[in-house]
Amino acid sequence: MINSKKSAKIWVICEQRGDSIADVSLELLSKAAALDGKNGVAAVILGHGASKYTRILAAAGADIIYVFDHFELACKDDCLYARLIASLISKHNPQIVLMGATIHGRSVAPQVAAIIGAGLTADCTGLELEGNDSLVQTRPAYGGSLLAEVITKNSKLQMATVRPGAMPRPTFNYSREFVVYEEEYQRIDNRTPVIYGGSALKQGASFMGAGVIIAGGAGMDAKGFSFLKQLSERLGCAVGASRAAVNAGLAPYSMQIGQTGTIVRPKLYVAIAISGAVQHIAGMRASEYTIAINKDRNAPIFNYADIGIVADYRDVLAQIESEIEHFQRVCK
Amino acid sequence: MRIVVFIKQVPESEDVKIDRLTNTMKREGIRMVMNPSDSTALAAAVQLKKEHGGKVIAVTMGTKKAVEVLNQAAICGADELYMVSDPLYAGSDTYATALVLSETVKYLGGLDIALCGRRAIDGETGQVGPELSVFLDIPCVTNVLELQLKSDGRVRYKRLLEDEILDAELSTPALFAVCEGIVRDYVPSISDLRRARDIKIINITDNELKLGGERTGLAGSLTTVRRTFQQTSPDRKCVFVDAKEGAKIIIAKATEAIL
Amino acid sequence: MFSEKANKHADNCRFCWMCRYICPVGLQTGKETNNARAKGLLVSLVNRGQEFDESYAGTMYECCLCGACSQDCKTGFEPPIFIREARTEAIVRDVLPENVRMIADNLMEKGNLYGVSSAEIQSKLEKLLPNRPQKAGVLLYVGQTALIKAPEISEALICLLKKASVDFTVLYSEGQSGAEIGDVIGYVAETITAAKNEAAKINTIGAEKVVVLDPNVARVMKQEYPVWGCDINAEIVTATAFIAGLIADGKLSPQKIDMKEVTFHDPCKLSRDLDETEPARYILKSMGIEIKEMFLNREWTKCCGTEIVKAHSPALGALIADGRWGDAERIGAACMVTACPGCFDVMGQCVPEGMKHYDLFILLAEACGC
Repeated sequence: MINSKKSAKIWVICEQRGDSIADVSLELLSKAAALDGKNGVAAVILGHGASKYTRILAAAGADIIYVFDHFELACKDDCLYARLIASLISKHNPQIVLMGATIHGRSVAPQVAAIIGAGLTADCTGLELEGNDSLVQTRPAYGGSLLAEVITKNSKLQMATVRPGAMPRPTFNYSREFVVYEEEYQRIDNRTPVIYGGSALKQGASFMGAGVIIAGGAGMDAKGFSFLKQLSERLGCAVGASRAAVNAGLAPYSMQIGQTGTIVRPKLYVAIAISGAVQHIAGMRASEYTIAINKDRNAPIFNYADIGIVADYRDVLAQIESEIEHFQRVCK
Repeated sequence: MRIVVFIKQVPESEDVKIDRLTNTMKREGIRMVMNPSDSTALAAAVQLKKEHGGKVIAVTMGTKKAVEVLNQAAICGADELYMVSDPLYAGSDTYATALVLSETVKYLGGLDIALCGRRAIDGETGQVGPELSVFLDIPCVTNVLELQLKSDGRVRYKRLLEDEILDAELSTPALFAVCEGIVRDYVPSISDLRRARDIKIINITDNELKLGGERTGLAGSLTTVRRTFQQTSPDRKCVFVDAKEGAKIIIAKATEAIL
Repeated sequence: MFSEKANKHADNCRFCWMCRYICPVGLQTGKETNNARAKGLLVSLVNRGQEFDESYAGTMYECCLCGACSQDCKTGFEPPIFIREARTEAIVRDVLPENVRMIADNLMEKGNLYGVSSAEIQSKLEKLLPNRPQKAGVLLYVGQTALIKAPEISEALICLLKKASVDFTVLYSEGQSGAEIGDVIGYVAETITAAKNEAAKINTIGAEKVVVLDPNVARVMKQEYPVWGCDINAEIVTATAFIAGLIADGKLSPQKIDMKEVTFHDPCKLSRDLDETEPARYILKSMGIEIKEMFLNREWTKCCGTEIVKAHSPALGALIADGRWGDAERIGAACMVTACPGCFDVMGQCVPEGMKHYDLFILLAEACGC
C-alpha cells in the first residue's frame, strides 16, 4: 500500500534528547495517530543529525517527517527553532500542532503560537477530538485540584503542549510507510545565545523519567539528606526536596518539587518529613504510588498517600538501612 | 538601562478552596500575593540596577487590587510603577495578555532587559513570557536560575533544564523568564520604605494603548475554558503502618518500580 | 503601609476593648489611647485615609510592648504586631515626637538607647572582665541596659560565674542585639542587619552556651533570630535558668538570707514570652527567702514600664513603675526583688518610702560570699 501523503492534519514537534528522541514526542506521535491517523500525522524534527531519527518517528506514528538537519541547529535554541517551525507551519497549514511540555517545548510552542496567532494550551494531560476537528484539551488548574477543558477559538490552528507521561506509551509499527522532507535551513540572524557548556545534574538529582523519587522536607537535617543521597545511589532513585527544605539551604533549587519547583509523576514517591502543603501536593499528586512519613498523624500529606508511617523519619531511615543490609545478606 | 519587570498578583495557593458545586475557585478569604517567581524576577532586576545603574520599571496587568504588588515592588526597589487595567482586557488569555503587555512596553518607550517569572501559580502556563518576546521581537530564555550583566553589555545566565544547568550568554534586548529559586521575603530598610512612599502608580488603560476590544479580553483570546471539573480518580485511602513494616514496603515498591 | 497580618489584627482589635484592664499604661494614666484597642483603631483609621500625625505616633510609643494584651486576648490577636509596625510607619513618615526621635537616633547612630559610644562599651566590658579569654565554653551576653544602667548586676553575675568555676567569657565589644532597636523602629532591615552582625560576633567565640542576662535580649535571640535568618551556633540560656542550674548542681551554695515580706516581680519577657517563671523562685528559695505573690504574677505579670519608655518619657515611665509598686504595697510587701536590668533601673527610680528594692543576682552574689 503506497501511502504518499502530501500534508498532515496533526503535527507533532519532536524533541531530540541526547542521542535519541524524547519519550514525550513518541507518546504524542502515537496519540496523534490514534486521534485521527487517517488524515495524516507529521513529525517535525530539528537538530544536527536529526535525519537519523526518521525511522523511529515513523514507527511511532508519523506519515510525514519534516527534517531540519544543520550543524547550526545543534544548539537547540528555542527562538530559532520556533521561527523555523512557524514558517513551516505557515507553508502547510496543519490543523493541530502538538509538542511535549518539556522546558524546551514550553518555550518553543508559545513562540510559535505568537508568531502565527494560534491558540495554545499548556501542559495538557488529556486530548480528545470532538466532531473530527475540535481538539478538546484537558489540563490541571489550581495545582491540580481542578481539571479544565480548553478549546481553541478564533484560530484555525490549535496548539497544545502535553505533559510527558500523560499520554499512553507509544506503539511502534516499523512497517508504516513514510515520506521525509529535508527542509532548507538558512541562518536568520545572530541573536542565538552562545553556550559555554552545561553541567549535568548529579545522578539522583534529575527527575526526568525517574521511576522512584524520595523527597525530604525541612523536618530533616543535613545528615538525613546525605543519607537520602546514598540511598539514591544504592536504589537508583532520584532525590527531591520540599520548598521549605530548599529555603532552609538543605537542598539546591533544582531538587525542589512542587508548584514553585518541578512537577513530577514517578511510579513511587516517598515523602519524608514533608507536611503536605498545597503547593507541594501540586508537584507530586500524579505519582502512581505514594508513601508518606511524618511525625504528625494529621499532616495533610497523608491525604495523598497510599501508605502512611507516623514516626520520626530517623527511625524509618534506620529501618530502611537495616532492611537493605538484610536484603544484601540474603542475596549473598 | 531600562529593566522592565512583569509582575502578577495571584491567589495564595494554601488558601485556594474549590467550590464543589460550581467547580470554580472560591474567592472569599483568599490572600492575594505577588507571584513567587515574579518576586525573584524583581529581586534580580533590582540587583542588576544596583550593580549597573538604570531603572527598574514594574508593570502589572490585572484588577485594581493588583496595585498591592506594585507597592511591594516599590519597597523592593522598583523606580516606576504601572498598573495596566481596562474593562476591555478582562478575561484575556495568554496571547491577549502578551499583546497588551507588548503594547505597554512600546507605549513606555521600550526596554533593554525584560524580566518575568517563569510561570504564575494560578494559570501555570508559562506562556506569556515567550509570547511577549515574539511581540517585542526580542530573544527569550526561560527557566533562568541566575543572570549577570557583563562589561560588554551581554547577559550571561544559567538555565535549569531537566538534566543539566546550561551556562550561556546573549545580547540585549532580551527577555528572561526566571525560576523561583530561593524566594526570600524582602525586609525593607527605613529608607526603602521612605523612597517607596514617593513613587506614584501610573494607570494605563486602553485610552493609552488603543488596542480595542476585539484584540483583547475574551474577544481577543484564542483559547477558552469550556468547563472545569474535579479529578475523577478517588482520593487515596491511606493505610497506616509502623516504621519497620513501612521500611519493608518502601524497599519492595522501590525495587518493583525500578525493575 | 501595614502588612496584611498587622491589618488583620488591628481590624479585629479596634472595637473589642476587652483587654483594657490589663494594660499597665492605661491602668495608670486612665487615657483611652493607652490600651491596645485604641492603637488598633488608629491603625485602621490610617488605612482608611486618616493622616498619621505626631499625636498618633506618640500614642504608639506610650506602650511597653509587654504583651499583656496578647496574653489576655481570648481570640488570639496580638497588638504588639501592629504597634511595632505603626512605629515603623511613624519613622517612615517622619512624624516622631521629639523625645522619641532622640532615642531612635541614638539607636540608629550609636547602637544603644543612651548614645554611649562603642569605645565606652568596650571599656565597660574590659572593666567587667579584664583580660577576658578569646574562647570559652560559655559566653555571657550582658546587654546594653545592664552595661550602661545597671553595671552592679553584671558584676554580681560575673562574680557568681567565677565562684561556680564556669569557663566563660564576654565579647570584646557588644553591639546591638536587636531587642531595643526592634522595639523602637520595628523589624526593618536596620534591625535585622544589626542582629546578624551581633550573631556573627557571638559565633566567633565558639561557645556551646550563650548565657543572656537581659530577658528582652534573650527573647529576641530565641524567638526572632531564627525568623530573621540569624543563626547562633550555641544554646541560648537565660541567666536565671543558668544560675538556677548551677545551684541545683551544687556549684553554688548560697547562704540563707533573712528577709521578710518579700515579693518577686516577674520580668514580662521572661515569664510571658519565654514561659519561664520558676528558676528565679528557685534561686530565692535556695537563699531561704519566702515570697508573697503579687496580684498579676508569673505569665500575668504587670510590666514595670521598660527601659525604652523610661528613656523617651521618664515621667510616664515612673508612673507605670508606680503602678507595679502599688501591687507590692497592696499585699503588704516590704521589699521587691527583680530579675532584669531594665526592671532594676525602672523600678529603682521610684521606690516608695519605706520599701526596699533588690536585684536577684546582686542578692545571690551576697549570699554566695562574693
